[in-house]
Amino acid sequence: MKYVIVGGSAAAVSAVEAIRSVDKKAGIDLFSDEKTPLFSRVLLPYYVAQQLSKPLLNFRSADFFDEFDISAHIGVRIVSIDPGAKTVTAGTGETFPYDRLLLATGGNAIVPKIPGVDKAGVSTLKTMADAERILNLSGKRAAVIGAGSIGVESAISLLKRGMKVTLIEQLGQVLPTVFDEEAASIIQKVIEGMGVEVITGERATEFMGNGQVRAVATRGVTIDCDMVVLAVGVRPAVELGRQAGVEIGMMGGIKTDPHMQTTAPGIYAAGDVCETFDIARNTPFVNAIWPMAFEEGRIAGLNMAGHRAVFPGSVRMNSIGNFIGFPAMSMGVTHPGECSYAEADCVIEEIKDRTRNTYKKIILKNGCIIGAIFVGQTQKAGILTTLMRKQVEVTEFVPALMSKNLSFMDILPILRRHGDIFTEPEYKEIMDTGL
Amino acid sequence: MQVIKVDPDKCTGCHQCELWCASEIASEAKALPLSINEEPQPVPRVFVEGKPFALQCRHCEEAPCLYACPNGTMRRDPQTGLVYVHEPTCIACWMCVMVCPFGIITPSPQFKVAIKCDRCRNMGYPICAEACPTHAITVEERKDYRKKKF
Amino acid sequence: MEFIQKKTADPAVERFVLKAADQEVSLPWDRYEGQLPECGFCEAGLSCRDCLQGPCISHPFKESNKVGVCGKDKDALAVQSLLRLVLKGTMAYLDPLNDFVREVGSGAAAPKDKKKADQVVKQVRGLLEKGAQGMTADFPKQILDAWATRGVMPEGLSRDLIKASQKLEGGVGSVEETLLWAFKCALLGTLAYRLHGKLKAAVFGSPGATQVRLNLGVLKKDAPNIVLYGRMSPVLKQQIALKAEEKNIFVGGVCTDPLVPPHIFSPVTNYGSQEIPLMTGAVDLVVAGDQCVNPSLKDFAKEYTVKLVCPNSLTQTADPAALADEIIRLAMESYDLRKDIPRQIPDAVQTAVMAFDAAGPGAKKILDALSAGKIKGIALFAGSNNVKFTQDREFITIVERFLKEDILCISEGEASVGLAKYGFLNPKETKECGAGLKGLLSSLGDAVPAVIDCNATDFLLALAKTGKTPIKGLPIAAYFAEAGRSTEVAKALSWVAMGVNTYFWPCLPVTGSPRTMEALSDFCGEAFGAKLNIVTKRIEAPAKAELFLHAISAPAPMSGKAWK
Repeated sequence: MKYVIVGGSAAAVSAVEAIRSVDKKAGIDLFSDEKTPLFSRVLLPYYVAQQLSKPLLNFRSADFFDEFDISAHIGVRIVSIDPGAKTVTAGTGETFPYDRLLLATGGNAIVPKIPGVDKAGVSTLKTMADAERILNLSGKRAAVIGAGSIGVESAISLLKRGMKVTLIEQLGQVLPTVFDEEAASIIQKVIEGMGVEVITGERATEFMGNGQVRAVATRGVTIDCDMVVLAVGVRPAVELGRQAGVEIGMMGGIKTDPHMQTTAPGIYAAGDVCETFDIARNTPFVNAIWPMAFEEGRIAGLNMAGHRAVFPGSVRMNSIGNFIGFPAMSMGVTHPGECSYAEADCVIEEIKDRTRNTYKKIILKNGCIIGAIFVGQTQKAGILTTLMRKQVEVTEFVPALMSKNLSFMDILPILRRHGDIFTEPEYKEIMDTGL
Repeated sequence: MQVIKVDPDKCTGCHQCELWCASEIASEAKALPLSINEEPQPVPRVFVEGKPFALQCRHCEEAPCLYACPNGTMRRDPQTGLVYVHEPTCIACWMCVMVCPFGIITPSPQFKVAIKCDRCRNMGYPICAEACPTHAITVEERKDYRKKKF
Repeated sequence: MEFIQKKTADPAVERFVLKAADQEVSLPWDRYEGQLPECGFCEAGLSCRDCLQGPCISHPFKESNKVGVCGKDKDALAVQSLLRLVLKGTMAYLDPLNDFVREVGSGAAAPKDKKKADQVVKQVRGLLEKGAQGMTADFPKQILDAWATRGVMPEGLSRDLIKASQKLEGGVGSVEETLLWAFKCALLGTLAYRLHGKLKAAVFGSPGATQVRLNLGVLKKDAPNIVLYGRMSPVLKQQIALKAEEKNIFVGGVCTDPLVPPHIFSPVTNYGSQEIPLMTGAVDLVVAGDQCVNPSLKDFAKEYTVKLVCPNSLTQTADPAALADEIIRLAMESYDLRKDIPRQIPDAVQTAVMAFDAAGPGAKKILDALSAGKIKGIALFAGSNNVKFTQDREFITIVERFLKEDILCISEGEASVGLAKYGFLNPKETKECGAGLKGLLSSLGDAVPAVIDCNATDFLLALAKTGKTPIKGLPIAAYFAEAGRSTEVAKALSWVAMGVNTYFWPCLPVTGSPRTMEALSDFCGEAFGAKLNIVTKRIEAPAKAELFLHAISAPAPMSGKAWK
């Protein structure tokens, strides 16, 4: 059995570990076009902020590939796949055969088609090369286009390096895919308090300057800057998949079944490149976040190695931890309207609680959690994430779930009621004590 | 693998396990009177909340926190199977807090790390079990609840 | 959470400890180990059961649980934990005085100096009703002024004891305010204790230093043995002694005043090992008072077939003579019944000279020796035993060190009995003393032992009266090295109020509140010129001695003048 993994980040490493947990002998070839292997993309803003040195960006030790007996081809890009012959071809021209193939190519940062976007000093922040470039840009004033997670973190990173930063967002709030308006306004106040200038509702129309970017123009304002970080979004990197003939889903990611297999037999996909069934939205979606990539990689790997494993479906979840000194978490949908393909007789409820320093919201569909937002007080959020992923009815527990004294003990009745859903051995272990 | 078992019939909710966990494990001073007034305040890793029952990290076989940690800070000890936080590399992103089904990971802005029970990895016998006045907390071999692995 | 490996420094007791383990007899050490760990919240003073909305704690490590239901925060909880102990301690001083006064009033006693006795009884009534006014002549003005300034001059039961107790019932007082109420209450107890001593002197006379035999070996092999446990009326003790003499019955004591002149109640052992005498099989009857008496004596009495008589029970006769008759009768009965029970009395006897007159000419000689540098300081030892330490070992270690360093050691009460077992109060036993101290001791009398037993409060007052330096200016410290009971807490506070730097082990239940710890240190230093030192770091006995030695050897503080 020959395994080929295209990709070297979360999904790829997770898949490799899963395969090795079952199959210690078969050959695994891993191809990553990043020259620096095993670093965590999530941490690039910390690198740019000079809070972490390069070695600390790694999520596995340098001898990972040796330890797991992987043939790692670092810096080698796979340019085509022949599903009939079951081979992949690298940029060097070499071909490699496979029995099982995993596409874990992640996503590409979107470069908006804005005049002047090719000027010097304008960069996305996706790859290590991007991070190095931004790190080496000298400048005093930065503009960040797009206030999604990457945008906000990039803005803070540059602020921590002593720059004056302006964050420009096209929609009416920061973090539009992560928080609702109320939570976003709290976060905006926090980052403005840290010193970032935030402009919402403005779309960048032009990057001005003579070869080197000098300013960003929007419809309403012009912002002087000497560097620009583009953070307008990420698109699944499906070029290879498309070339291989696998079906691309409606959300732009490679379509996968619950075993993480694509429409082509023997070819699997996991991570930011693929589309999975989103439990909260009730429809396939691309949830390009680290925990999902890891889990999808694991399920893909297990299935590739012959063990049937089922991916239960993804959910979006984001956590802004200590980076802005103010905890905020969000999972699932942020607005009731985002749950698409809801049947007509679905009952959607939104429960909010705002106190002086915190904001909490839970969105229920027919009594099951499909979304939650926690701002300012976030411990035990994992309990809600789990209840959401298991889609169990929690209506009568909402007061406990919204309380700041929520404890695991509060949801014991749910465990008792749904023993068939809470099947993990750890639950059984607890219930066996007689609780 | 050795896991902690708590007998709810014996637990009186006295909070002694929390107290000793914080003062003898989490603190710098490692002794009660000196740790009481330590700054930052030591954080207990076991929870006695709601009902009389002590809840520690379950060291799950398929630990969501292991999958969610973006930089390999959450690790599993190959010998003991215990899941622990390798604090020097923790960046306080709280992804693990967001996925723990039992809510036993504490985000600590004061310590700038995620804090979780490591079943007294470097101690031998867990302190909560030692401290429990009614011996409600014991250590036993993990049962295999699954007939097959996957 | 540790238990003590070596239970006691007393070899005779140790033998029985091993035997008890064999025979599965439970001693205080077993009961202590069985319940470890003890509640950490209560240990730190962070718990309260004063009302029914609790029990409340202040959890040092959880935000949601920092304040009791009524709002008592960790500072209130800790200082009130201390106050609770002081209230109990003061009541424990007042109770024996009440009993004694009642008996003197009823004519049951036959005072040697009736006029003086009546005077003291009047003083007692005055103290309880109106406070310290009648006693101010005894105390130096400087101390009385300090008390008056802080509002802690004792005013009688209603204003010192009952009012102080109300701090536990509610109110918004500060830590310092509550602490001062504890002081006020403690001082009432100390004044009461002094009057008890005066009344005893008036009723029974004060013959001065007396030789006493003690330790387990004093029990008789071939005669009935009565052992008196705990505080009880000296009149009753006198009656028992008189009648026991006629019948050749031995009367010993545990945790009770050994001297009711002219009778001696040899201490059979001290507080921590109080159950051991019954294990010898030689005790025929126990007269069990209240204070300091372990309820476990009931079980031991059953196990070893010992008769138990409680002089303070509700239906007991109030007439000491009649009760004494009953006790003697029962003792003889018990002795007969127990003829076949083997008596294993260890060969452990010591001699001690006790009850030196504190206010005698010694004070001048001591002060002279101090100013001449012959002795470096004075240490007072008080308190009983605590199962958390190896019995007596703390006292022994510290005293031995001090004697070598020319520190004059004074002890009182149970501390004296403890040290006496090892010969520290025996003039014939040579204990290694520094040259200066040796010289002083021989100048004080013919047969003065290394450690002098006397009433420490009276001794302090004698020093203050004789010398020009106030007590707080002298190199003097009090060591409660193995404190066990609430009376010791009250006494410690009283001595601090008199200007004596006091060291107290184990830590008082105030360690959960830095503010209370500070109040006992800086605030008391300001108010009274002395601190109550709570040492939270775990240190061994030699290091504890070092604390005082270091304090008195520290160079004088810089004058603050600029260098020329």
